[in-house]
Amino acid sequence: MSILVIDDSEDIRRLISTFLKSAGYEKIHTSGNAVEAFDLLGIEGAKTPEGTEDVDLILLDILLPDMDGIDICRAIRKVKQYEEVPIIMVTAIQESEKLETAFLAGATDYIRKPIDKTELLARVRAAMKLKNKLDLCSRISKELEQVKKELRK
Amino acid sequence: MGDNKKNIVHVDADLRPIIPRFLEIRQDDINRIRTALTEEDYETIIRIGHSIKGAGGGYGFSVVTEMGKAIEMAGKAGDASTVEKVTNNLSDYLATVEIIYEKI
Repeated sequence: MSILVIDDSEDIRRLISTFLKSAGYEKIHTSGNAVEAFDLLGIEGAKTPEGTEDVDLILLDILLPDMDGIDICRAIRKVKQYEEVPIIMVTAIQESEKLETAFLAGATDYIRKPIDKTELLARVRAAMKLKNKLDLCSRISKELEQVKKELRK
Repeated sequence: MGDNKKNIVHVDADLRPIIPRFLEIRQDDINRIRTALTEEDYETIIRIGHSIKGAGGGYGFSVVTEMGKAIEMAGKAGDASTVEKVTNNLSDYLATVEIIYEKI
């Protein structure tokens, strides 16, 4: 399981990474801005579009200096590979009015700053459970398609 | 010997390795706010206050979050005197805070 944390605050990136590692999540990647995130994900807007990582969950700051977090969410959702990846927005209380827009852009959930460890881990666990179920459905669907093809022969 | 309860903070033991860097960044923030004050650069003050507010509580330093909030609000109001006062309070707090690590 690989998690990407996108936040311009070094404090927040380090804090979230530490909490996630304490809960056993070993593959944590971090980006401080949209360009770094797009490079890592290998999506449009990246300087090096090969992409380096397959990510299972994204924690995304709603307010970044180079691009709005909601626009980043939208850009990620446009990529087939990331259509179903859970995206948890990380937001301060004053940004509540943006949450509706974030959900419309494809966000799965949100957590508030200051980060609460228990809430963070509970929401990540729930998102990973959902992702696992979606992955299973996708695998079964592909297997069924394969069986159908075989039967038509 | 009595404890100064205001300056004792209980921090998640898992965060122990990253607390020194957190405190170092706060000191940078204090220096940058003081510079911004001399330049009447309230945009920078607001940004730093917002950042302190967002980070403090997560590390266990809820007092730091409150001070960050106060700096941000004072910055938005262009209130240099309050920005200076709270920044000095933050500096004093960080200089005297006693951290107790516990498994949370």
